[in-house]
This record gives sequence, C-alpha cells and structure tokens, in this order.
Amino acid sequence: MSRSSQRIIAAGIGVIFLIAGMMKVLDPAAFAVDILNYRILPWTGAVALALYLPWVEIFCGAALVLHRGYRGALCIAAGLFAMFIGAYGSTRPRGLDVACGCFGHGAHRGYWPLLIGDGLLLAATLWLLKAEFRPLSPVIRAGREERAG
Amino acid sequence: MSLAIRQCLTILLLAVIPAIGTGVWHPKRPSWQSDEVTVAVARSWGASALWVDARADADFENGHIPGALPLNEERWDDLLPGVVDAWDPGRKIVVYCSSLSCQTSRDVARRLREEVSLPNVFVLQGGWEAWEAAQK
Amino acid sequence: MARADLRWAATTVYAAAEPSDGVATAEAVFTNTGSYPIKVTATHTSCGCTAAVTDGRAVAPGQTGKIEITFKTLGRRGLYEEPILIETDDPKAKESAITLRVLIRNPVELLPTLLFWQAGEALTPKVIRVTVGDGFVLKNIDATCADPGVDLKLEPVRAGAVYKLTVTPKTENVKATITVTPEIEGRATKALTAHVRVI
Repeated sequence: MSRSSQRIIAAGIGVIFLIAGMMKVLDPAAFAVDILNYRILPWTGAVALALYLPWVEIFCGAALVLHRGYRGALCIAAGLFAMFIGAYGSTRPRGLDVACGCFGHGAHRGYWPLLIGDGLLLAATLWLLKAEFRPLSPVIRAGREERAG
Repeated sequence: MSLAIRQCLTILLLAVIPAIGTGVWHPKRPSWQSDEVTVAVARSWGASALWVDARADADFENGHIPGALPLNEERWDDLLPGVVDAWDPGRKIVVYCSSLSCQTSRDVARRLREEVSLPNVFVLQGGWEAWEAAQK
Repeated sequence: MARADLRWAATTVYAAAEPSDGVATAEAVFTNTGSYPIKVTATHTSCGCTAAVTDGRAVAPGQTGKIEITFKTLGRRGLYEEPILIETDDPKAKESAITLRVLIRNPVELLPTLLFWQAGEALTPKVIRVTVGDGFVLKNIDATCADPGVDLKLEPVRAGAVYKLTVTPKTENVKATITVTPEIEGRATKALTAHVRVI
C-alpha cells in the first residue's frame, strides 16, 4: 500500500482518538466513574487515569493527523487499543455490564461489535507500525526521521 | 526505535500538563477522595448535605438522621422522586445504611451515580451506627 | 490424622435476573475432601436481600453438598456482590467465604433517569439513551410526558436495540416525569420512568 494510503489510515485513527479524547475531557468525573466500573483500578487510580488518558488520546490523535511524532504516536495508539481491548474484553467474563466510556459517559455499543471494531483498529495500527519499521536504505531512513522529528 | 521511544515519551509528557490543569480547574473534575465520608466531615457540610437512608422502611421509621430521605431498593421507583425533588446541583448526597459492614448504601450510591447520573454522591462510613455513636 | 476438608467448586457464584423476577438463584457446591463427615451448621449473609440455605445433612467424605442461594431482585438494578460466610462443624475448616455476584437488568434500560437544567442554563436538548437488552425483541416503544412544557423526540439509533430520547424543556421551573413504554415480545408491558427538572 502506498505511503499516502498509510497516511490516510493513520489520520483516520488520529481523528478517532481526537474525538474520543475531546469527548472524555468534557466530563472527567463521569469518565472516572466509568473507569471505576471496570473494577480494575481503585478510585484514586480511576481519577488519575480519567484526568490523564483523554489528553494522551488528544495528543496522540493530533500527532497521527499531522504526521508529527508519528512512530511514537503509533506505538501509543497500539498500546491504548490493546489496553482497552483487554479491559473491556474482561468485563463480560467477570459479569460486568459497563458503559464503555470510549466516547464519553454513557456511550454503549454492543460487546462484540466494540471488541471487533477495536481489534481491527489495533490490527491497522500494528500494520502501520510494521510499515514504519521496515528496513530502509540508510539515506531514506535518515530523511524520514528528520522530517518526523 | 530510539526515535519512536523519544516520540512516545514526548507525547506522554506533554499530556501531563493539561491533565494537571484539568484536575485543578475543570468544573467537572472528579474528587480525589474516595466516596466514603465520616460523620464529622458530612456534618461539616451543613445544609448542603442531603442525607439518604438506604435501609428498609421499618428501620427508617424506627429512627433516622434528621432530615434524611428514605431511598431503598425495594421501593426505588416510589422513593426516588422525593430524593430528586430535594436535590440540587450544589448539594452533596450522603447515603447510609445500618453499619460499617452493610453494603446497601454502596448499592444505592452506585445507582444514584450510574442511573440517575447525580454527581457528588458519598457513602457514610459506619452508617447509622456511626451516627448514633457520634451523638453520645 | 483424620480430618475434614471442604473444597468449593467455585468461591464466586453468579446469577442474572430481571427485577421483576423477584429472586435470582445460584448454587454453591462443595466437596468433602477429608476423611470424616462435615456438616454446614450456619450461613451468614451481609443483607436481608440474600439468603443462603443448606439442607443441614452431613456430607460424607468424597461426597458433594450444596448451598442454595437466593437474592431478592425487586427494585434492584445493576451488579451486586454479596459475601456469604459458611460455618461448618469441623474446627479445622470452621469458616469459609463465598461471593455471590448477581447482575440485575431490565429488558429495556433508560440512562440516565434524571435530566436537569440548572438555573441560568440554556434549555438545550438533552438525551436519555434507551437500550434493549440482548435477546429481547422490541415490538413497539413510546415515550410520553404529561407536562406540556417538555418536548420529547424518540428516534432509533439502532432500530430494535438502541433509541435516543431527546428531551427539551420549553420553560423554567419544570418538574416532570417521562414515561417510556416498551412492548417486548412475550412479556407484559412495564413502563419505565425518567425525571425532568429545570431548577
């Protein structure tokens, strides 16, 4: 797939993160309760994550859209998708029924559609990462790193 | 690889600054305290505390915190409007049940937060027993 | 040395029900892995909503026994976690604890059940999300409010599964109740209520 197609896909993922982050920033208290409902973190952990995570998403999303700090943003995006799939995926086996909190308090999509959707996004992110770390000629790599820095 | 790590760290560190700002200034910032409050703290809130008694009707009739409203799960639909009418955004809701070990106040508090989406919902540490002990 | 020992098949047991079911039931099964009989002498629960009953018979080595657990569901909603303490007649295995986790859900859920506008806040529309539980077939759904000062608009997000009820108050000082009436195939119609307050 061409570089421009990769950029479009990355920008699409970036927009998702931007929207998700901005919606959570609107009501961090509600987001903290959503995190608490996963019953993984204690209250103080949920509060810390509720304050911090939306901004990570916003900066990561902006980096992907603007193609700045690209590789780092891809790594973070992959990590966030994996973390979320793990956390949300564990809710049904634990008998929990949580509002996802992905796009702000109260958002609720079906269990499997959400997991599959995020699985596809994770796969796309990993594929983009693999394309980034593909061996290149030293000249091309140096030029790309300089532009991305 | 080192470039990716540097970029990761940059993004993660950049996010700290607005996160701190959110925690300090956002009008809907969450409280760092856990949702439990002691009798002393809840009483210090004065009229802004809205006391909610999560015990069964018979226990409420036998004695309750002055001004408390009953809201138990057996009669949730009947009793909820009374709590909603007494509430306004400036009040802190303090839910209690009989004692330290009872779970009912936590369940009622959870539902007030999740279903009714009320902010500032707390659970009284030690419940009715702690209130009575504090009166002595 | 002769001993009794009690091994639980699971120390957390699960149940799911609707509020209208009245009770949710679960079973906690144990095996006597010791060398003499063991009897459950008492059970203790943390609230009157949970009951744990044993048949009181002694369980021979190698045999299984069970505790029947019931949880009152009326009026309840959400995930509940109830600890249950089991006492036996064996001094070496005197007490053990199991946990009941119960999920109580209505076929149709409203979230949130209160919409409010503060004094001075613009009377912009707010939304109540109406969700139909998995496995329930929605035939029809309606939302009404007796107060003419409240506009309602119910529209499908995913027909049969998720609906958006947009509520717009037209004036201040509103204290109204919205009634959402879902018709679920094979079930008696049960209206759900939400509250609107313009303070």
